[in-house]
Amino acid sequence: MSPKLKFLIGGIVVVAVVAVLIVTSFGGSSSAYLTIAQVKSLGADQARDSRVTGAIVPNSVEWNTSTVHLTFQIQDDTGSLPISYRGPQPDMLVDAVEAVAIGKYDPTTQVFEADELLMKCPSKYEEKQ
Amino acid sequence: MSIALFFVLAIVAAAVIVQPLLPGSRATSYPLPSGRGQSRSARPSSRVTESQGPACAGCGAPVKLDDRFCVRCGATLGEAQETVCAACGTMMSADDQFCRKCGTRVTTTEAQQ
Amino acid sequence: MILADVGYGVLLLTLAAAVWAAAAALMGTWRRRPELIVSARNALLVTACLSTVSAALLLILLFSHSFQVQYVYEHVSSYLKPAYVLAAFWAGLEGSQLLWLWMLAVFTGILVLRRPTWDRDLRPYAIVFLALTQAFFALLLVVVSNPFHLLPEIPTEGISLNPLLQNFWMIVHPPIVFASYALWTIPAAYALSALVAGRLDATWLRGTRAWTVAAWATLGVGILVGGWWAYLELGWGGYWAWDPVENSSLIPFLVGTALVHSVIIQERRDMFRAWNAVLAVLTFLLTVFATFVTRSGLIQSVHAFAESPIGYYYLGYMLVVLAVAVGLLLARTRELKGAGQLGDLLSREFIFLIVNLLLLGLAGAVMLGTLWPTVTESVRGVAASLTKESYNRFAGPLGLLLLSLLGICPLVEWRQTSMRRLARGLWVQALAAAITALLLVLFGDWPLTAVLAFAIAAFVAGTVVLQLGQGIVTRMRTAHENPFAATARAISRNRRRYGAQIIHLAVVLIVMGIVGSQARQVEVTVPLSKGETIDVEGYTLAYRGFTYQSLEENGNKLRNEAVLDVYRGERLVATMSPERNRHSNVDGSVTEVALRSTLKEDLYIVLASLESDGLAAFQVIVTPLVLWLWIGGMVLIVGTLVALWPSRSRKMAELQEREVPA
Repeated sequence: MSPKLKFLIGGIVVVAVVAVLIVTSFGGSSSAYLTIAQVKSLGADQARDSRVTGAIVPNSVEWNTSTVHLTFQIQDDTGSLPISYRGPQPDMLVDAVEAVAIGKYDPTTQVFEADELLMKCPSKYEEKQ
Repeated sequence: MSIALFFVLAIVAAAVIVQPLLPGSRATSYPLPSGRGQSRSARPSSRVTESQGPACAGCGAPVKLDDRFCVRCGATLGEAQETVCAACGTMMSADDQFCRKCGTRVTTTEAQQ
Repeated sequence: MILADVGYGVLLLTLAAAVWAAAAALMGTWRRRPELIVSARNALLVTACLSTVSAALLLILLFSHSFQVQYVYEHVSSYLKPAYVLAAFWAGLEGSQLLWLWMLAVFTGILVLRRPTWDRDLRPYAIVFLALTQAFFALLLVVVSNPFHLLPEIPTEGISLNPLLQNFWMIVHPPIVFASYALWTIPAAYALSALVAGRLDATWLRGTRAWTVAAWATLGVGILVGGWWAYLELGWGGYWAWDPVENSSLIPFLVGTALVHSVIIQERRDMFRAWNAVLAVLTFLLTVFATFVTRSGLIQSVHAFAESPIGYYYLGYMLVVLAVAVGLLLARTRELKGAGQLGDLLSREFIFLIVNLLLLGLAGAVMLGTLWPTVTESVRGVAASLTKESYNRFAGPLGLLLLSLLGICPLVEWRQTSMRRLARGLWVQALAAAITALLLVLFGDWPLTAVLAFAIAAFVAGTVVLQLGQGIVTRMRTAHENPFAATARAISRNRRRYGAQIIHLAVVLIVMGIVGSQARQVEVTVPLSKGETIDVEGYTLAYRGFTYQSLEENGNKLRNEAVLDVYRGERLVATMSPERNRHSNVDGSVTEVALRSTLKEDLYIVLASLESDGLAAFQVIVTPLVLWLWIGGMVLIVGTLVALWPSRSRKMAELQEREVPA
C-alpha cells in the first residue's frame, strides 16, 4: 500500500471517529427555545430541557431566604409564566430585564421549575432604559 | 487650536506618503519582488539533505534527524538540519543567521541555492 | 465639539492612507515602481500614527466627560472611577472597533519598520492585505459605527458603565483578545502573499513565526482571563459556559493551535504546505467570524449585544477574503506540493496530521454547536440550543485524545518509528500514568473518567519532563556543566523547543484544573441565622456576623456583608466575607464572591441574600484543583516568553543587517 493511500485511510478513520463523536453528542439533549405559550402546552412526559425567555414582570419577584426559594413571573407576547428556582437570586434580577429559564414545566402546578437561570446581561451596547 | 493640529497632522501624513515618490528619493533602490521565476518547490535543499545526511555543525560527525546533541562533541543541535551554509557546506540550524563554522551570514534564499 | 470632529477627521485620513497603501503597493508591484511600494509602507506608518491619535482623542473625550459625544454619554459618567473610564473605551461597539483598528495599525507599523531580507518577495502583497483590512475597519468606523458621533444636545450626565463591567478584568480582558485578533492578521497576510507570489516554501513561515506564536499565546491568555473573570465575578462557580461569545474566541484558538504545530512539518519536511496556508487564513477569518456571530444578533447569548447590521459587514468581508483565498489556493496547486515524501503511519508527520484533523474537528463541532439554534430553527422550525453536557460529551474525549498525542508525539520520529523504539521511549511515563491511576482509584474518590484523564496528564507530564531532562543531562555530561548552568544553557540555545515544552506542561496543568473542577464540584445552598454553622466537604462554616448598611449611610452603594469563619476540624483557616451590594446607579444587586483558593480546591461562597435580622442564604461551592487552571495560564506565559525571546545569533544578525534605505 503506498504511503499516500495509508495516510488517506488513516485520515479518513480519524475524521470518521470525530464525526461519530459529534453526531452522538448532538443527537443527545438540546434545549429548545420555546415561547411561553409553547411551554404551557407541554405535557408532563416532555421532561426535556426547555429554554424559555421573557421579561421579568414588575413586582413579581419573591424571595424566601429560609427556604432559599425564588419565584417570579416572566412574560412575552404569548403570555406570562411563573418561574420557580431554588438557588441564589441572580444579580441582574430586576424588573423588565430579560431572563432565560432552563428547566422543566410542571403542568400540574403550572409552574416552570428552573434548574438554571440566566439574566440577559444588560447589553453594554444598548442604552439603559 | 485642535483644528490647526488636525491640518498639521494631515500635511505631515501626506508628506511622509509622498516623499518616496519625489525625484531624488532613494526609494528607487528598494528591492522589488523577484517575480514568478523563483517559484520554489524546495527540491534542491532536500536533495542536498538526503545525500549528505545531517551533520553536527561543530565537529562534522553524522547525527540523526532527531538528536538534540551531537554524541561526539556534545554541541547542541539546531531545530532543523536541512539548511546548508552556502560558503562552507556545513549543516546548520534553520534558526541561525550565521554559520557557526565559517561565520558567513545567511539568509533563507541563499541557503536554498 | 471640536475634538470629536477632529477625531472623525483623523479616522477619514486613516481610511485614505490605508486605501492608498493598498493601491500603491499593488501598483508598485505590477508596474515595477519601487518608490510606490515605499510610499505604501510609509502610509502604513502613517495609519499607525493616525489611529493612535484617534484613540487618544477618544480617551480625552472619555476622561473629560464630554457627554455630547454619544459614545461617552453611553458608557461614562462623572462619578465613574478613572480606571473604569479607561475600560469604557472598549465597552461599546464603536470603541472596541477603534481598539481593533489601532492595534492592527500599530502591529503593522512595527512590522513594516523593519525590512528583513526574507521578506522581499512577499512584503508588497502583505502590505496590500494588511492595508485593506485596516481600510475595512476604518470604513466601518467612518460610515456605520462612529465613536465620535455627536448628540444634538449636551446631556448633563452620562449613563455610566454597566457595573458588571466595573472591575479589573474589564480593563484587561478585551484588549488582550483584540490584540490577539489583530496579531492573527499578520500570518494570514503572509500566507496570502506567499500564495500570490508563488513562494510557498517555509520562508513565510519562518518569518512570521514570532507573530504567530505571539498571537496564539495572547489569545490563549485572553480566553483564560475571560474564564477567570467569569469565575470571580459572575458568581455561579464556573468559568466556562459554552456561550456563543466564549465559543467564538475558542474556535480560532483551536485552529491557531493546529497552525503552530502544522508549520513544524513544513519547516522540517516540506509537507503540509496547503494545510499551513489554509490554517493561517482560516484562523484570521474565524476571528472576523467571531465578531459577526456576536454582533449580528444571529445567536442569542447572555452577552446580549444589541443587534446591529454591522455583523453583516463582517460577514461580507469574511466571504470576500475567503473567495480570494480559495481562488489563490486553486491557482497555486502546483506550488503547494512540497518536496517531502510521506513515510510510515507510525511517524511524526502522521501524528501531526491527526492533530490537525482533531483540532479542526473540535473547532468545527464547537462552531456547529454555536450555530445550532440557527440550524435547528431553519430545519425544524424550533430553535434549540446545545446543552453544556452535550458540548462536554464531544469536547472531553477529543481533548483527551489530543492530550495523549501530546505525550506520544515527541517519542515518534520523523518518517518512521519502530514499535520497539517507541516502547522504549514511553515505558517510564506509561508506568507513571499507571501508578497515578492506581493511586487515584485506591485513595481518591474520583470518577473513572477523571482517573483516566489524570493518568494521561501524568503520562504527558512525564514525557515533557523527560524531554527537558534529557537535554540538560546530556549537556551536563558532555559539556561538563553543573545542573544550573546546563539548564540555563540548554534553554537559551534551544529556546523554541524548551519554550514549547514549557507550554505543553502548562497545558497539562490546565487540563488538570479542568478535569478536577468538572469532575467533582460540590454545590450547596443553605439558609443560616447568625451563629449557626454548616459543614461542607470537610469545612465547617460558622456565620459570625453581618453588616446591613443602607444607601444613605454608604453613599453610592448599599452594602450587605456577611462574615463567616471557616474551620477545618478545630483549626480556623480563614475568615471570608461575601457581599451582596446595590449600587445607586444600577438596578439589581452586585455579588462579591468570597474565595479561598488552595492547590487542592477552591472554597467559594456567595451571599445569596441577607435580611435585616441577619438571616442569610449562602451558596457554598467547593471546586477541586481549579487553581491549577490559572497556574497553568501563567506557566503558558512563561513558556511563550522563553520561546520568543530573541536569541543571540538573531541579535547579531539584526545589528549587522543593513536595511535598504527608504
